[in-house]
Amino acid sequence: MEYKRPISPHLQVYNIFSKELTSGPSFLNRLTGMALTVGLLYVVAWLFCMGMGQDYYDMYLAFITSWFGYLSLFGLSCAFYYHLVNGCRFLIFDLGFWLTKKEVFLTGLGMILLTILCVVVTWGCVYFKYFI
Amino acid sequence: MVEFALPKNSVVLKGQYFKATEGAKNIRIFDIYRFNPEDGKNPRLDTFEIDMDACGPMILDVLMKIKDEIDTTLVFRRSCREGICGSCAFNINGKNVLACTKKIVDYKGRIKIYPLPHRPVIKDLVVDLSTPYAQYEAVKPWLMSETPVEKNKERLQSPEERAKLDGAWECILCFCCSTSCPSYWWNGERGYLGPAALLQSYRWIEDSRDEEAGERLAELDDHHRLFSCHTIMNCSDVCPKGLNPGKAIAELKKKIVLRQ
Amino acid sequence: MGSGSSLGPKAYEKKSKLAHVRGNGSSYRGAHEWLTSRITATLSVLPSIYVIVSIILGCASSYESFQMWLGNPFNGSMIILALITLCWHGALGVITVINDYVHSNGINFTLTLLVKAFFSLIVLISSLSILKVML
Repeated sequence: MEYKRPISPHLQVYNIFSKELTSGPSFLNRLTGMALTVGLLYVVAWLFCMGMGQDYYDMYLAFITSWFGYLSLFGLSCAFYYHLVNGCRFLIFDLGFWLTKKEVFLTGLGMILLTILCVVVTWGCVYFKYFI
Repeated sequence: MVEFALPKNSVVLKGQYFKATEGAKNIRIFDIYRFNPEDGKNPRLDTFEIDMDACGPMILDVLMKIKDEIDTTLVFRRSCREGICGSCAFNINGKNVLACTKKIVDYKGRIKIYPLPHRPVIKDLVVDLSTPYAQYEAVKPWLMSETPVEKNKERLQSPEERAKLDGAWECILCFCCSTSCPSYWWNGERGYLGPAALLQSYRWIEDSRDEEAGERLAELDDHHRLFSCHTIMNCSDVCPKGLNPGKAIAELKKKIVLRQ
Repeated sequence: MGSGSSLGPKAYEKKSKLAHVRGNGSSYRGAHEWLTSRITATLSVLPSIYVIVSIILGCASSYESFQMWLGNPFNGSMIILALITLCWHGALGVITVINDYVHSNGINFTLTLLVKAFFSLIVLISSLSILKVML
């Protein structure tokens, strides 16, 4: 049996979600990206039902306005806005801007606040338009 | 498939507890990763109570004290004790740092000292760095120039051209950055060069005296070698010399895209 | 690079670390995927926000209203554009994740094919549904 050295602990000891907002937001960007592929299934189901006619569409509306539908829409909207805003932050990084420690932290903070704002505005509008 | 959990032979078990000497008042507790390749056992975490009144101010002073007075079998790399050789890089309380420049008072509570993450462990805090060094060699960190220069004359460079190297030439090859990068953890052994090697590649590409920038960029233009970087930015966060490999990598990506 | 050992060359391999790091050389075309991912991301922002705002304003609240909304070719174009750019970006994203975590070449290749098929199917089904309603 070949002797294999042990591998030093990594995820087990590293502070991934450190306050400098480096690897934490990056990991969440990946996670929300994967979650949004599920979101695309919601979209394709919606358009498919539209294509199949009134009955199917009413069925879909009933599903999406159920508590489960609203819950998943809420989760997907959080994922969408997070991925969108952090995506813009990463695009700015790719252009070469704001890559110092301080700017990475400040943009990370701004990104979190902007995401929360987008979610609140979206669901605020939905609430005031449909539930009042 | 990438292993997110530690393989069986790497799981860290509980180790020994070393109490402080009688009468010690100002005690702090250190948990230190230990591994002995000769005893066939798993790595373990030993705990040491250290009297701060009888110890120097830096984490390296603690390691030296333990080796001198408590457990001489503790093994770790060290040399200059002033943050310039890059030997004493460890993961302390979740972040990669140099032990000789980190003050003990900067940490609260228990201090956990682990080796650099996701590297094969040779013994205790000493890890196998042969791959990071080979990656440094792979970027050809020397001047490549066909233009002949007169004997005993320098290749000239203006102060503005020399200024482009600032922030890259100062690297001490401690590999805190590469071993802090999750992308390097998963892909360092299958092509990703890591921030340390890529920063040096950038240093030679930016050097006005070097004539092979095109070749260097072509070698980097690979899905694994450069583009495994996903701007996680742990590297720049962790550099003990305050360098910015993340920015250098972003500039390299821009150069490659712009030359297409 | 073989079926991926994550701890360097295998024990029996005598090749140098430098040979291991150099591998089979640079492909000289690493930027394409990276750039396309960014371009599709940028192009997807405006169309998808347009569609989301339209939905919040009530365009999809009933079959009739959505049918009317889709009847406008601009709206139809926006939603199809959003879908194409988002699915393209999503496919590249998932493939990047697979390349990061799956080191076996065979499984990697198969999963990549499945991902491309999946996202192509989404675009196809969605576009055909939209066209069916519009025409």
